[in-house]
Amino acid sequence: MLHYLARRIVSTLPILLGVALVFFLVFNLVGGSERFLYNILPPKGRTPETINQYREAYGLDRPVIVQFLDTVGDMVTFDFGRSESTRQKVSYLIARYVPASAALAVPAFAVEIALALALAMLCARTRGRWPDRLVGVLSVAGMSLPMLALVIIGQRFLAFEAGLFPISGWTRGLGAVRYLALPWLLWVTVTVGYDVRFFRTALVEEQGKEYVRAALAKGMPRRLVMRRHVLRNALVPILTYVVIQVPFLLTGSMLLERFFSIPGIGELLVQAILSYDLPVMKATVTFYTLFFIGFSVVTDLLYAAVDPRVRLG
Amino acid sequence: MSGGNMGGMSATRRKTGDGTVENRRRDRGTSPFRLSMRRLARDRSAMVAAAIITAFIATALVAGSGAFGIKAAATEFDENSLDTMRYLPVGTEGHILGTDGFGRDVLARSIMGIRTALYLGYLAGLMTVPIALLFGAVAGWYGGLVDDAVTWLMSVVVAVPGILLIMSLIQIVGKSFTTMAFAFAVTGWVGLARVVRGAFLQARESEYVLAARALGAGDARIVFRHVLPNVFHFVTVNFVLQFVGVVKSEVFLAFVGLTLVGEATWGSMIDSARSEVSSGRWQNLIGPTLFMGIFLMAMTVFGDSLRDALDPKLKNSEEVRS
Repeated sequence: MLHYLARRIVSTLPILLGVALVFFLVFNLVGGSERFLYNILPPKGRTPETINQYREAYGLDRPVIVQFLDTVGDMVTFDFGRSESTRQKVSYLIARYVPASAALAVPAFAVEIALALALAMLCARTRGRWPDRLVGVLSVAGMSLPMLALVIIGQRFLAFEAGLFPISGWTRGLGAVRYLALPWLLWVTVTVGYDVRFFRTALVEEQGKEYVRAALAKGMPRRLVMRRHVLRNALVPILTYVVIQVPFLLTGSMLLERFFSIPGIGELLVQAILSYDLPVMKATVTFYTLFFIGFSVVTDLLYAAVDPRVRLG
Repeated sequence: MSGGNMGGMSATRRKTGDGTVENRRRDRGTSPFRLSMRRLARDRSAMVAAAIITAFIATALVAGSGAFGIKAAATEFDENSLDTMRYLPVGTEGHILGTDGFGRDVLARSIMGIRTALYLGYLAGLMTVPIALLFGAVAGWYGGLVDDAVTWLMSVVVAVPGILLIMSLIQIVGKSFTTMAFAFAVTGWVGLARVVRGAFLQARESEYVLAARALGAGDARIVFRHVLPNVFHFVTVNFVLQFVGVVKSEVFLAFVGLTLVGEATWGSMIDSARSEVSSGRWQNLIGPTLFMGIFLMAMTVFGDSLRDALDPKLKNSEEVRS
């Protein structure tokens, strides 16, 4: 187990190196660094001399390979310097913005998965009849409507006209729940469709297996068969699917964070991209990547825990 | 669905010669593809979806040619006028879905939005498929170091959250539909490439490839004539799914200000609705949401049916899976 973990951690190094390379290609070679220099200077200061001066100051005149190794060094030590727009330390910004994202994503995701599982079980039990069909149609509709439109409609009717939620805003601490309630609700509405469809497929497939018929034939009540056998076995694909989604929670919440002015990491990143704030961009992308790789290890471990046939080698 | 069933395709075909009577009766003269299409044609929801998609495409083509003045109504406005409050509400005579602040017809703009969606979706798909096929096939077929390199590349691309790369690329390279489609392709090829790689890994060991080799076929012939057709159904289904994803992502890009200003896209319309609904102007929300909702629903339903119909596991069965 420890041996496996150690090997997995070592195996992430080439991936991190590759991410640094992608990042470097996009930002330094495609033209990012020139745009960056252009952007950090005030309009009047954009003379060739000052641009050269800044190019030197940021080390952008050094050989490409040195710059690349520098980027890798930044990523490994997680030291990205200061933000170009706010002059705050990037590591401080990340630490400050992550909690709001987690507060938005984690509860919403948990509720959504539970709801999706319940609906999928309903579908599997009433397969082909009206509850199954209704949920199916609603899922496809939810997947097809643009999220932005639903968010606009939700804010207008539920927050503005019905007055059930504040329109937008943020406070630190527990008071934030007031501002998070509507984004949570919208999150669940928008994402539940995908998961219901996936869970339903997993359950229906498991339901069609021989052992289910055997259990029913020996007189076991259908509900018990569903809970003890079908659900447990379907949990293997379902759990993998759920864990794979976790890293995308951070990107998935970008729209909601920006729309409802929630100071999360997605909002931080969008700001950084729009203002060419290179240090913050690098830091957020590294953060996302580490998060992603970390979770793929967790997925493997969970997989082994749920399915006794899987051995970590 | 696994690549393993693909290798069986020609094996079954071979078996029909000396196979059971029942097998022969069902198979004779009908290719697996024809059987798939027959299954698809019997699927009622798939046919309704296909009709809707065809209607959308036809409307977009007609509107794009300039007929009925749709293109003009969607794009032309008085450039000398400073009046940007020329809104007309939904249900106005002559403008069923109203007009936006420049006096442009929202229905016409929604129709022109189909064109943008089609263009983006198809271009992204056309760029994705060759990348995915090339990397997947090369990795699966040659194995060894090449496979290691491609696998590494795939894990790198997956490790960077796609939407970040898309946003960064558009911001840096510049806003154009081609850049957008390219960004979607660069981030979206891995899923298909993985499946293709798996199929090629299995095909390499399969008997029909050995048979082709024994008959003197070279690598290129085997890959293009024998193995590649077997991954065709993954490509088709992936194309439809990616299409839906691209159209939805365009709305997000519009929201963060990375779509083309002035073009009639569903994303930019919905984004401008964001500030308009607070003064009770719903036209820019209603038009594109309706169009996009119906179009993407039809695409999703059609994609589902297509996957079921092309699934080689159901190759010889007459029933349509519910």
